[in-house]
Parts: sequence; structure tokens; C-alpha cells
Amino acid sequence: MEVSREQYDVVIIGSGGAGLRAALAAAERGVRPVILTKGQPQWSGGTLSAHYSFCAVLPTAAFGDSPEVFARDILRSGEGISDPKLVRVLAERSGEAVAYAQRLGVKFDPAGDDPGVPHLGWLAGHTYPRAVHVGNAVGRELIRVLLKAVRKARIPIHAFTSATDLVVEDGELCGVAAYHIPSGELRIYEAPAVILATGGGSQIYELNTNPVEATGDGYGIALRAGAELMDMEFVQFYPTVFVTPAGARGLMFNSGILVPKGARLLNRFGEDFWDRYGAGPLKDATRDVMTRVMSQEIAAGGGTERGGLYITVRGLDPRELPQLQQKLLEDVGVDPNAQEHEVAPGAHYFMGGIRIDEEAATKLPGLYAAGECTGGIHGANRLAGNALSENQVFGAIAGQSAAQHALRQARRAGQAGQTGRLRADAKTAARVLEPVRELISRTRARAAGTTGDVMSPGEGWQAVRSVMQRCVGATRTEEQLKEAIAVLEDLRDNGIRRLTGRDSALPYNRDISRALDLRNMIDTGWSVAVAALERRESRGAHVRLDAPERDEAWTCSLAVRLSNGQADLRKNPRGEVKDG
Amino acid sequence: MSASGNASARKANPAKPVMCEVARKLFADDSVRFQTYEVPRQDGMTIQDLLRYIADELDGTFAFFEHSCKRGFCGSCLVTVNGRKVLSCRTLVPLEPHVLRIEPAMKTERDFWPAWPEED
Repeated sequence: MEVSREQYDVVIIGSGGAGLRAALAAAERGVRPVILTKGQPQWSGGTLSAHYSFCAVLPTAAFGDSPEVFARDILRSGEGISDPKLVRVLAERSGEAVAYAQRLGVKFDPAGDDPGVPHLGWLAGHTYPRAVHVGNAVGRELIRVLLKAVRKARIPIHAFTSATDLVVEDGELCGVAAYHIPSGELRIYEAPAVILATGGGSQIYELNTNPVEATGDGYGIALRAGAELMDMEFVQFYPTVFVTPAGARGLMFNSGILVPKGARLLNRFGEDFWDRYGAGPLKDATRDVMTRVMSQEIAAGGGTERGGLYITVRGLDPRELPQLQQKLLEDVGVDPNAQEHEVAPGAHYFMGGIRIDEEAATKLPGLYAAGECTGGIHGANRLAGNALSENQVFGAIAGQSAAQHALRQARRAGQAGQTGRLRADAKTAARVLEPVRELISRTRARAAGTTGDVMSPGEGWQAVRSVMQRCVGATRTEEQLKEAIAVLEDLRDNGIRRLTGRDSALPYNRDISRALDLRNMIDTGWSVAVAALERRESRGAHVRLDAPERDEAWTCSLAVRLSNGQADLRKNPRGEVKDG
Repeated sequence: MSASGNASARKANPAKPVMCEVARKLFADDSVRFQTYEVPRQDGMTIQDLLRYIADELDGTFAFFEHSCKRGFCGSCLVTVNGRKVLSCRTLVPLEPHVLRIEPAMKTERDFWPAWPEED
């Protein structure tokens, strides 16, 4: 099978907010980037789903607010797990990120008559109002202007191109291996610098709020290349996600608005169970507290057949219900007059991820990362409104750092009389592409009727999502986590070798594309489970039913590496977080 | 308890599968032919759920790419059903058991796989 090769200075994997911002920053430094995305940039990534807010400290901030206060809010919410150095960078540069978006053409809703001064909304957990917004679709607007700028800068975007692994030769990064879904072509993108901007991995759970692309690709790619992940045990769940009917599954029921107005939670017997858990008034419960109590009630047998509970809006004025959402729910088959809806906590955001420093650099020289796929900012809990701030601030930094690295490499190579570009050795390229070749060979053999025991990508997806939902959800126990690790390691060591598509024709083969996602889903799920097993305490979004208390000895970050198929786990102590 | 998905007026009859005729083609300018599929009914199933079921459960040769916001605002899932353009992620499969004729509403390369003209 032919392998095509292309050369760039920086390869960016992912076309959401972080990837597009990184591409612009790299191009502004005078290097040649390329963006690889497994979907289409105008319709891909989690950024698009960010409805309301992009938090920052602007020059027009409320009296008393400052980057220091913003950083303190994030650190408090992160419960001692966030990396204070990264948090400081985020807080200090968030204002700059908003100004950049404004220069590109985002017109944030104004505070008053001056259209250049955005209104600042207040969000829970923030000491001051900091959220700039554009109607109810700030993420969509941000992607629109970033993409326009990327096109104007003539930065190539390779759509439907699934990055499979990094090409690393003698410890040196020299590019990305990829599979082009429309043609079935294997590709090597040679470059001295790569940026992972692949978003999160919530699709590894049966019930989640994420776009279908969120299969943890960056975590899998980084792990297999020997890079370090951190804080993977901290997965944020949104407490009230529809479990039924089919078309509504995964949609969020806005508990943040309706619970303070009086909505209550009921178990399958119709009992209002909240007060049994001693978690304070429901009206004041944050997302993580609500998720914990709901998961405990489900685990105690209060859940419905589908694993849900009921949220009831009985007694609320119907005019209080958000009308935009009511229309969407009605369209997808939710009875508009129903007083109860069946909901459960659904995976929403990965706080942990690829370990980076203030330059967005990983420990593998030349590899950078930005956005949800990284760890270190949000710690045990993400403060609302900070996902876009993170992807814009660190997207820009990753683009600049990767460009500088590429320029340094070119200078070094030039001095050594070389061409200035790295060339991946044919043997290395072949080794990196081996899993994809094997998948294709098996798929062809199956079509020819010459293969034995196989697993379809659909079966693999189901296996991962089911064990993650059941054993590594919002509450965990040692027994459950060990079960999940065994299932995931069996999938990684044996299942993958049986993974086979149903159609032998390669162009636009959905099974091949889903099989490639599955490799990352398995590695992502495994990293969450091994970290969750190691952290024998409960803190923020990580709740161990067999270790329900917070343990100060665990006020540290937990790094995961993959070493010869085994988990290499290491604690990284954090500095004391002072309040006030 | 009258929960959202269980309202009897909206309950689908699982005994009656959804019959659909789905547009197929091998390449962008290929002439379109219609293939008939019989899809099991599920409560509250959308047109997008139906297309995904065909791709994942019935026919490995059916080219289908799903990247929608699932909230009806990104527009990526627009298709034509019985001559009418609809957002497939927020349009329910009708309860009446008539045949659905489903075609892409945007430029596609193969079956329902979207075209990407801007690639180098």
C-alpha cells in the first residue's frame, strides 16, 4: 500500500477553537502550518457547543477584579489539583484572547452604547462578572471568525483526515501518521513540530453531551508516543442529561436555571431523595455535588430501568422554562407538557489531559498541546466559562511555541548543511502505520471470506462505552475500576487485533474511521480508570464510594504514562493554594 | 408519572418498522439510485438516528458521516425527506407508517458523505 508524504513546519491535529487559534499564531510567526481534522472545521469540535460564555479579565473589569483574583477562583474550584503556573498564564492572558477575537470580528454583546465594551455576565464560582457572550452562541461565532482568518491566511485544512499516531524516531518527533478517509490513503505529514488540539474524550461514555468526534484522540496519540497525561480521573459530568427518548439522549436539561427556581429530583419510586444525602439545599448544589448525589441514588437502586432519575418541574411557572430549549426538546419527541423528565449525569468535559508547561510544550521535544486535550488548568473541577478562555490562550501559545521550535530546527539543520526539514525513515513510517495497515488487511480479508474471529467497530465502541458508564462513571469503587481496567486491557491487547470493517471498499469507509477512533477510546478509558483506581480518596469530580473522604495526602496531581503496556503512575505535589 | 419520553400519544409501535428509500451513489456525479431499508422503530427516533442505524447496523457500504451539534443549530445534518428539507438531528421519524424517501440536501461525495471541496 502506497504511503504519501507531505512536509510542513507545524502539523496541528484538530480544528476546534484551540487548533484554529494555534494555526493562526504559527502562521503569524512565518512558518507553514497544516490543520488535520477528522471532520469538517465549520462543523467540528466542542467549541461550537459553547453557548454562553468566554471568561476573561478585561480592562473594563469590575472594580476589584484582576488576573490574580481570577486565578484564585480557578485554583479554589480546582481543589488543589490545578497547576498554579498554568492558571496564572490563563488568567493573565485571557483579556488578550478576547481582544484578539474582537480584532478578528467577534462582536460581543455590548454593556451599553459603546459596541467595543462587552457586557460581562456573572457565572457561579467567579468572584466577579467575567463572561463575554454573543447571544447564546459564543462558540459558533468564535469558530466562524477564526475559520475566516485561517482561510484568509491560506492555511491548508485537510478534512476527513484522521491522525493515527506520532512519528517518533530515536526520541525525536518528526511528524504525524494519518489516514485519509475519502481516499483510504495512508499519509505521513513530516514536520519538526506537532500540536495536539483534539478536544476531549467524553464519547467513551454511553451518556455524554459531546459531539461524536470527542473520542479522546489526543490522549491516545500522546500516550502511545510516550507523553504524559495528568489528572485523567477528573471527568466533569453534567448532572441532568436526557436519557430518553432516543433523539433527546445526550441533550442537557438546564438544571442550572431550573433548580434554583424550584425544580426537584425524584427517584424511580417518585420519592424526593435529595435531603437523605445531607448535601445541603438542592438549590445551592453545584454540578459536581448534584452529580455525586444522583449517582449515589442510582447506585443505591433508585434509578429507572434506563439508569435515570426524574427531574420534576411541577409547580414551576411554564414561562420560567427556557423557551429555545423547550422548542428543541419538543422537536425531538419530548412531551412539552410533561412535568417529569428522565435524566442522569452525563460525561461533559475532561479536566485532565496531556501534561504541558507554560509554553504549551510536552516533555517530548516538538510536541505541543492546547485546549480540552490538556490537563493542569481545571484540576478537580472546571469553573464555568473557562473552556474557551483556555483554548484561545493556550492555542495561541502552542502556535507560537511550535513555530519557534520549527524555526530553531530549521536553523540547526541549515547549519549542519541539511535541507532544514526532517525526513521520517521509511522503516519508522511503516512501523507507525502498521496498526492501520493491519486493520485494512483484515477488512479486505473478511470481505474475501478468509478471516476468522472478528470484532466490528460498533461492537468495540459499545464495549468501551458500556464498561466506562457502568464502572468508571461519576462514582467509582476499587472493584469496578479493576473490572474496567481488565476489560480495556483485553480490548487493547486482543480486541484491537480482531477489529475489522464490514466493507472492503476503502473510500468513505465509516467502519475504518470508527475503528481508528476506538484505539483512542480504549487508551483514554484505560488512563481514566488506572488514575481513578490509584487516587484513593474523593475530591471534586472524582468520587470513590469506597474512599468517600478527601485525603490531604492526595493534594497532588497524578501523571500517567504507558510503559510497555503497563501504567506508570507518578504523583506531582502541588503548592499550597492560599485563599484570600 | 408522566415522564417526557413515555407520553402515550407519542409512543411508537415497535411492531411496525420504518420503511425507507435512501439515496445511494458511488461518487459525486454518479446517478442516484434508491435502496430500501427496513429499520426497527424506537421511541423518539430522529431521521439522523435512522441513518446512523442503517450505517452501523444494516449496511457497512453505506457512507454516512455524522458531525452534528445535535441541537439543530449547526446545519450539518440537513437532508431531504419526502421532498422537504429538514435538520435530521431534530426531526422525528413520523409515527404514521408511510415510506420515507431520504436524500442528501447538500453536496455529497458518496451516499451521505459530505463534499469537502477545499482540500488541497
